[in-house]
Amino acid sequence: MNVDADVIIVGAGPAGSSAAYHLARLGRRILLLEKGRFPRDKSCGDGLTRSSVRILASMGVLPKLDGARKISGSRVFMRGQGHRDFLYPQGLGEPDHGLVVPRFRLDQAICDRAVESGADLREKVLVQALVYENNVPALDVICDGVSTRLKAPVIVAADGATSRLAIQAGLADRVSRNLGIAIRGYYAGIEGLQDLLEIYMPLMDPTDSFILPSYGWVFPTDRDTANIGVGIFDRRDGISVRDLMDRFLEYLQQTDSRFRGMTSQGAWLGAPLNFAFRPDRCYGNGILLVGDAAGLISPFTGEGIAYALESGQIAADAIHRNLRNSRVSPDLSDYALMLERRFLGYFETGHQSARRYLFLWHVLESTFHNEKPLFALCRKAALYPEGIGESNPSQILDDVSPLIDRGGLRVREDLLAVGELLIHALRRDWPFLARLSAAGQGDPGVPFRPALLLLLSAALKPSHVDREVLHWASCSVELGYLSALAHLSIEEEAWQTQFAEDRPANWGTMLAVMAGDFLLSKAYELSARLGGGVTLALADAMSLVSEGRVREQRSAFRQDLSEMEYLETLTLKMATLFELPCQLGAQFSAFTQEEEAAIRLFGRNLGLAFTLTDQVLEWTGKSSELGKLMSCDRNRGVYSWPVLRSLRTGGLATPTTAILEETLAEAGHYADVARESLAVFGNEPAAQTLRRLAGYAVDRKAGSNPDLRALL
Amino acid sequence: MEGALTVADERTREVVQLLISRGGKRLRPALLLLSARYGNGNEEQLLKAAAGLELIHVASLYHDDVMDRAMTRRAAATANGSWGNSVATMGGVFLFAKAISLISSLGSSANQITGTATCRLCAGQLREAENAFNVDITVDEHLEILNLKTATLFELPCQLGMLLSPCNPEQATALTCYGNRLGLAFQLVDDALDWEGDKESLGKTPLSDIREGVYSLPVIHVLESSGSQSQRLRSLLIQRRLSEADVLEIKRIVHDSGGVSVALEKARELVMDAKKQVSILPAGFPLTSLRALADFCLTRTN
Repeated sequence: MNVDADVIIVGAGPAGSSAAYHLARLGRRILLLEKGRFPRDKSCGDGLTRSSVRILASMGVLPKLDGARKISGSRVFMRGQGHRDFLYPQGLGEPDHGLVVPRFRLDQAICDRAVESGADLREKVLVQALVYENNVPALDVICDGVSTRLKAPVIVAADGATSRLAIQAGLADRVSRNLGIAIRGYYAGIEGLQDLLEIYMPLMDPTDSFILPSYGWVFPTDRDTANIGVGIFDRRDGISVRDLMDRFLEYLQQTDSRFRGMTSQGAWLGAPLNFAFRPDRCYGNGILLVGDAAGLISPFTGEGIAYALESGQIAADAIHRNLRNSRVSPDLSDYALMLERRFLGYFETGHQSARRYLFLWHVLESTFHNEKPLFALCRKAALYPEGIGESNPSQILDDVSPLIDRGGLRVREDLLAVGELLIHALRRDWPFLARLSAAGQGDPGVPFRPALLLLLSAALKPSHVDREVLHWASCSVELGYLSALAHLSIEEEAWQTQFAEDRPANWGTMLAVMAGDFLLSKAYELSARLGGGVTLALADAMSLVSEGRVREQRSAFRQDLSEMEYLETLTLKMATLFELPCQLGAQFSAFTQEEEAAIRLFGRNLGLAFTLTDQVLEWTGKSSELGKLMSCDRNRGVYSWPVLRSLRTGGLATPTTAILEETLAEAGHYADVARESLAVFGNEPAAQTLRRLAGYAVDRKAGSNPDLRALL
Repeated sequence: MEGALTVADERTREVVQLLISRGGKRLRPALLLLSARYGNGNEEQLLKAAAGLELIHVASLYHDDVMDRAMTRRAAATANGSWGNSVATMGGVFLFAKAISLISSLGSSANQITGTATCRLCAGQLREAENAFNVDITVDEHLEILNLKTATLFELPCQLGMLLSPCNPEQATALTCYGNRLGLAFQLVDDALDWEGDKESLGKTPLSDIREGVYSLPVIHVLESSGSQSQRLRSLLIQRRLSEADVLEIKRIVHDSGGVSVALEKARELVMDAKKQVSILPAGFPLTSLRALADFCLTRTN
């Protein structure tokens, strides 16, 4: 049987052209079919995030986009609550900006690049039907008015949100409930546009009585022109997207002087939005879906170009790896696995996804100005244009890799394995949490985190335990800590004074309680698999930490706390967190009773040294991110040790330098005790590393140039 | 339970013993001890398990009260009402930690099924929150959520009771099914009770639930049926702010369309089924109690 190409790609938008480019570069014969003729227009916001720009740079498309408007981040307006900026950090490599490029220009540029690389582009081709001959796919098409059949072992469906190929291949329902719709127009005469993608959420219905799952955008295309549009995720009876657009424009003109004199440039253009991403329905017999056809659109910001480009590349890799014989369609199942891994938690899988987004929307709206850790993370994950963990390393945990002894410790590998388990433990029930816990998973280096203490403690003595068991135990401990972090995000309310009817819903508190409970239950479930001893250690630690936090809250505003009382509470709520992983490490290795006591003593003192140092650093503006998250809340009467000391001696709430220095000296003392407690372990590499960590708890010096290669 | 909650610090003790000291139905310990009557288990272990289960339940009440912003429970102030959200939440975590500490000593299987059950419980709560304002939710989806959220903690006592005091497998299955039906029926009756009373006056609970987009079976039944009443209810529910008149109209529609009676009928069926499940058990005191417990669930309707 003769075939017409190795791969036929239907649709020459960003996803299709990306797949064509990558496959052509790998030496494959490609037919790229386009129903229109270039240049042609598409409805889109035209915003390219930095991720998109980076992919385009790697494909060599960027020179063709010379002169396009550069973007330094996004500005999100939350109805009635002002705005927040999410800027691309500088100094993390080029390109460090986004772009706004009209699709009229962008699509042609990417397609040209695919053609330059060897793809065979056919324009004005209408695809009629997907058929199979001897189990190999073929397409009945009309080309220049002539019907013909094109064959290839693999078809890539890049035919957009309402992909007919997906329906014909049985990968999409004829009527998808998950289709949204967006509409855009170009406007001129806008004053003072900045180089930010502006996003407005949420919008209200025409009667102004209920919130729609929708957003509006203003993306600057030039100095005073912009692409303005609205998108709605969930089609509702009686809601017209054109009405919504009218109202959005009116809102901009009435509330923001920049838009007062704007004029329309041409007609509006609308397009459906497909959010129905499901990895298991992204491939079939000899066919793959990419980009919009696969439902790869962010449910928060409507972004789709980066995912289109990336899914095209992932599809190309999967096809190239598996395609050996032009007469047999290859097994394409690893495409689904790769997509799932890549986009986990950002695009959710399964039928509950649409609902879950609404819940997160409520949370985002009601916690827009809340700086507690859980909400800051959610906001970043949902609204930061690239999402969390992508070329935006989480800086919550310090990198301590220079402190790790190179003598045969494999902690980086182990920590990566623990990270994978964390994702695995959460992904099925609540993928968004998996995404949050995966923050920073891609970072180089060794983060200072509980799993590190567990692994190093276990490495003090020869262990006969399977490494996997250590990984699971680490995972359980980290879930417990994530739970504590979620519960820390709970806000107090001034609700006693309000009537029930006027109270805003407490979505933030609800999420914090539920996420915290869920994470704690997961921690428990995992520990139970490892035996009652692990559960008992976890349970005892959690009860001590919660007791410490209850005591702390109930001693609020008390200035007569004795040093002993204060340190007791601090030991309960903070030192316990450092002691638990050390204790578990000991449980899995052949520790004597004396040795176990020694490593636990180390953990406790390390925790005190670390916490007291953070309390001092708070006043120098240099405390660690973790320290900020766990920090005391002066306004609510929860004092740090230097503050309490100052208040007790009749001073101000701002401690003197002398008090700060004394506190630092105390921290140094605890670090010394920690180091000394390791004497029983001699000079093993793990013992040396732990000693260095005790020093780091106080001096916070971990070197600026981590030598990663030595760790691997 | 008191043994597990012994804390030296007085202010912590006050927080964590708040609800336990107020009593309660102790349904879950009762179910566990009744289920254990069909075998020959160790008394001390059974008591530990029973205490652990009640502590998990009470811990969940602390957290429910925070989420519901409930100021009173059993006619006295809640933990959050007395000391605020953080203290109440951490108090709940303390109780949960003490519960699993008790259960961790009961052997690997008991520990593992409890771990799985607590995850199901939390997953059910998340699912419920995710479905806030979902006017397209079906009765089946709703029951699935109740299965996770409520029935899990009724099945678990039966499972633990039988694990620690083994009986024959048929009896074990029957008891687990019994626990499941009983849990569902309890929740359905609870939700239906919120709609009872004079339909011209505002009740308290359904009002706040409806404002927060949490719909129970009486509402979902009407939403799922076709017709103008259903359409009207839908358009009322999705509004951002509900006036008093809106709430009264919602209440009237739900009553007139038979939502409440459908929910109660469903609860009655479940109770019948629960009793049928245990009919294979030998006659005697435990069986009589299990049946009485099932009937008790319905008598609360009046």
